[in-house]
Amino acid sequence: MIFVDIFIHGLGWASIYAVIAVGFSLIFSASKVINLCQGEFVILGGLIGVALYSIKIPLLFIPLLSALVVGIVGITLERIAISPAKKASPTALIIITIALSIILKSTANLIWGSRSYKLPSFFRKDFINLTNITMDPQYLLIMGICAISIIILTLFLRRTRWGRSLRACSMDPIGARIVGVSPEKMRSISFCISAGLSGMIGTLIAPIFFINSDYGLNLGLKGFCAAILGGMGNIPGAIAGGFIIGLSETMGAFLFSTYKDIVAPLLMIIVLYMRPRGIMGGRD
Amino acid sequence: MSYLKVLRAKAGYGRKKVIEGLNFQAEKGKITLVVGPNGSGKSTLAMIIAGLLRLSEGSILLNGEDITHLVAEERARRGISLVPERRHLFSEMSVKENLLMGGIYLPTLQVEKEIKKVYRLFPVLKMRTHQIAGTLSGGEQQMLTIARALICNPEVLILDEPCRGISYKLIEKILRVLLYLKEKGTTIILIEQNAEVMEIADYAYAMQVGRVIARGKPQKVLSQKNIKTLFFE
Amino acid sequence: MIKKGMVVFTVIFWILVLGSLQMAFSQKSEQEVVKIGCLFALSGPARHIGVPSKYVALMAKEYFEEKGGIEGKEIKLIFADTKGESSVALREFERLVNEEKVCAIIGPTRTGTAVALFSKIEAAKIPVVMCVGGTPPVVPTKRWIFKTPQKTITAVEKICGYLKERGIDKVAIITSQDAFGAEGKKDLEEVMQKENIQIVAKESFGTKDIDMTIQLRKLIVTEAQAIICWTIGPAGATVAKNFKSLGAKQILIQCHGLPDPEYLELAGEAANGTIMPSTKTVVAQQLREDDPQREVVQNFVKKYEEEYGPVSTHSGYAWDAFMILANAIKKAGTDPAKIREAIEETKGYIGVSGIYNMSADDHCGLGVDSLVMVTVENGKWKLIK
Repeated sequence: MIFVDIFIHGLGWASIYAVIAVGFSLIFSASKVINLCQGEFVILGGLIGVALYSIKIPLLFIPLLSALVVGIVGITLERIAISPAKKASPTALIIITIALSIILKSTANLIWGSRSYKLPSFFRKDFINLTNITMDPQYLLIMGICAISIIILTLFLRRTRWGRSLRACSMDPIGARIVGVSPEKMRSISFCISAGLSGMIGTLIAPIFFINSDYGLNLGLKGFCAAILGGMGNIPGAIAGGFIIGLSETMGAFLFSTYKDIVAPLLMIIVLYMRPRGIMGGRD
Repeated sequence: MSYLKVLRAKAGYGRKKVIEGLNFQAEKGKITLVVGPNGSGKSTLAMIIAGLLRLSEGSILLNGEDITHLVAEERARRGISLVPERRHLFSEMSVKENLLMGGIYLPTLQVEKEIKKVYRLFPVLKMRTHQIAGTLSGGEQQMLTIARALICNPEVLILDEPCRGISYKLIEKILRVLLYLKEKGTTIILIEQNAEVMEIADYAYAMQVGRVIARGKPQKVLSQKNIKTLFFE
Repeated sequence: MIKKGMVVFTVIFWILVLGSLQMAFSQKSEQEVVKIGCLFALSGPARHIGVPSKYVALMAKEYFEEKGGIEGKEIKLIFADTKGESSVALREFERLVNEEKVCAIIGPTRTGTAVALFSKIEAAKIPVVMCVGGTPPVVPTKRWIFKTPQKTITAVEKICGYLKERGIDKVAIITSQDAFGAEGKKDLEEVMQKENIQIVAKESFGTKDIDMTIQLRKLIVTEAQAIICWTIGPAGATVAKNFKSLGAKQILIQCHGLPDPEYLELAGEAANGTIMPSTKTVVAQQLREDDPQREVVQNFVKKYEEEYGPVSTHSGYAWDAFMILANAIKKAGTDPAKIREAIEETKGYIGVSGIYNMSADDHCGLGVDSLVMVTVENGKWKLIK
C-alpha cells in the first residue's frame, strides 16, 4: 500500500514539474531562449494569490486571476528586457533571464519579506481516505488542473491561429516571417503563456507547501531538468520529463531522503550522455 | 507605371556588400525575370524585396509608397509574397496546416476559399492534404511552397529559382500557373539561372556581382554577347 | 526662487542649532553614560527576529530604569545592524568596540553570525550575551560569551521527560539537514540512548524542501509511538501539514524553536495536537499560581503584546540578555572584566525565559524547568498538565 501512496504523491509532483517544464519548452521552441526565471514565476503566482485572497477574492477565481497577472508580468519582462537585446547571443539571453530571476526574487522579497505564506486549502478536509490510501485532496486537484491545462495548451497550439503561428516559429522562423508571422510577437505570447501557467501552479501548491520567495530556484531547476530530459523545445518530451523527474524524485526521497535533491540533475546528466537531444529528441 | 521599385540599393551580410547601387523595377501584371550566375546577388535581391534583409542604403517603393523600413512580416501583409529558394516550409505540419499558415492573417472563410483555389491549381496537394510536409517529395514540396505563397492573393510574387531540381513536367506546370497569375494582374519577379523559362518573361535583368549589367526585352538581353558567355558556355 | 532659498536656509539653521544642542548635551553627560552595544539583524533575512529584539531591549531598558536603574548612571543602547551577514557583523562589532567604546554587547541574532564573531570577542575581551538558538556559543564554554536561549540538549531532555511520563519508548525522528537539525539529531540520539528510548527510524530533509510527505510516510508505518521533528521556520509547519494529511495515528513532537505565531498561521488546523517544549511566554495566562516566573512572564507578555501582537517562545531572550547584563553592571561597574565575572556569578535571576543560574562551566544557566510542554488546541497554545 505504501507504494501506491508514494506513486500517487509522485504523480502530484510529476504534474507540477511537467507544467513548469512545458513552460520552459514553449518559450524555447518559440524563441530559442532558455528562460531561467520560470521558478520565480511560480513563486510570484503563489504570492499574488495570497495577496488576492487577502483582499477577499473567492478562492476559486484565484488560480486564473493570478495566472493572468503573472502572464502580464511575463510579457512585460519580455518586452523590456529580452526584446531590446536584439543582437544578444543565446548565452547572453540566458544571463539576462538569470538577472531577471534575481530581480523578481528581490522584488518579491521587498514586497512580501522572507517569510512564508499560505493559501487555505481548496477543500474543506485536509485528507481523504480512499480504501487505505490517505492523501491530501489538493494533490488530486493539482493533477487534474495540470492535465486540463496541458490539454488546453495542446488544443491551442494545434487548432488556433496563434498556436499554429507559435509552432510555425519554432519549426522555421524565416518561413514564419515570410507568411507574415512576427517571431517577436510569438516570443511575447510564449512568455505570457509560460508565465501564466507557472503562476497558476504557484497558487495550487500554496495551500500545501506554502510560498516563500526563496523556493523559486529549486522549483525552476527541477522543471529545467525535466525540460532538458525531454529534449528542450519538445512539449510532449517536457511532459514525459516532468513525470520521470517527479516520480523518481519521490522514489528517491523514499529510498534515501538525504540525497533526494540530486536525483533530478543526475538523471538529466545520464540522459544527456546517452541521448544528447533528450528522450524525445531523436538521435543525433 | 512600375509597381515595385528598388532604388540605389546597397545591402549585404556583415561588412561584405553583396548588392551595391542596384536599381530595379517590376511592372504590374508582368513577369520580370532576373538572371545571373551564382553569387551575382539574385537571391539577395529577393530577400531585400521580401524584407528578410535590411538595406544599408537606398529605398524600396511599393505602388509609390516607401516600404524600406517595414520588416518582412509587415511586407507580407502588404501583399509581397516570397517563394524562397530553400522553401522554408513548416516541415512538421501537414499540407493543409502549411496552407493555413499562408493565410494566417486572413479571415478563416476566405482562407478556406483560397485553399480550394490552390487545390484546383495543384490537385496533387489536395490528395496529400493530411500528409506531413517534411515527407513530401521535392517536387511536391515546391508546389506546396508556391501554393502557400498564393493563399494570401499576393500583389507581388517573388520566386527564387522555383524550377531548380524538379522534373520538366512540373516546370511546365509551374510556368502555366505563373501565366495564369499574370493574367490576374499579379506582379511576378522570377529569379532564374535556367534559360528555358525565359520565354514567358516580359522584361529581363541580367546581374553580375551585385550589379545590373543589362536590362530590356528578354530576347534582347539574353542575346547580348557578354551574357551569352556567362550562361551558355 | 526666494522661497526655495528660505527653505534651504531654515533647514540649515535648524540642523546647526540641533547639532550644537546635541553636542552640548552629550558632552555634559559623558561621564554618566553606560554604553551597551546591541548587535541585531535589523534587515536581511533574519530581520523578523532582529527587529522585535531591538524593541524588546528598549522595553527592558525602560523597565530596568523604572525599577531604579544604576545609580547616577544613564544606560545608552547603541544599535548596530548585522544584516544577518557575518562580514557585516564583524565590521559592526569592531565599530561598537573601537569607536563607540561599549562595555558589553547583546546579540547577534543568528547562530552563523555568532560563530563568526567568537575569536574577535575573545580577543577584544568584551562580555557578550547572545540571543542565538544554536549551542556553539556556550559548548564548549568560552570565557567572554554567554547566551540566554536554552541549549538544544535542555530541550531534548525536556522532551525525553515527557516521553517517559507517557510511557513512550519507541520514537522516530525527522531532522533538517542544516546545523540546527544536525545538532538536534546528535543530542536526540545521545539522550534517547541514555534514557532507554529506542529510535526506530531516522529521516531528514533539505532546508529548502517544501514537501516532506514521503519521509513521514515511511516513519508512520514503523512501530514508533511518537515522531519528533527538529527544525525551525516554515519547514516545521510543512511537516505538521504533511503529517496531518497522512492521517497518522502517532503524535507529532516539534522542537523548542517552533512555538511561534507563524507556526500557528502556516500550519493552520494541522498544528492542532502537535506537542513541543516552549518557554513560558506563549502560555503566560495558564501558568500555575506557584510558578516563580509567573509574574515576570505575565508582565512581559502584557507589555509585548500591547506593542507587537502575539508573543513567541523567542520573544523574551533579548529581555533576559539585557537584564542579566544590566544587573551585572549595577553590581560590578563598567569594567568589562568585572562585568564578565558578575554575569558568570548570576544566580537565581528570574527571567522571562527561565531562572538563570550561571557558572564558570555553564554560560547559559537554564535548566529543564525553564521549559514547559505545550500543545495546540483550536489554533491556540495550551499548557500540558
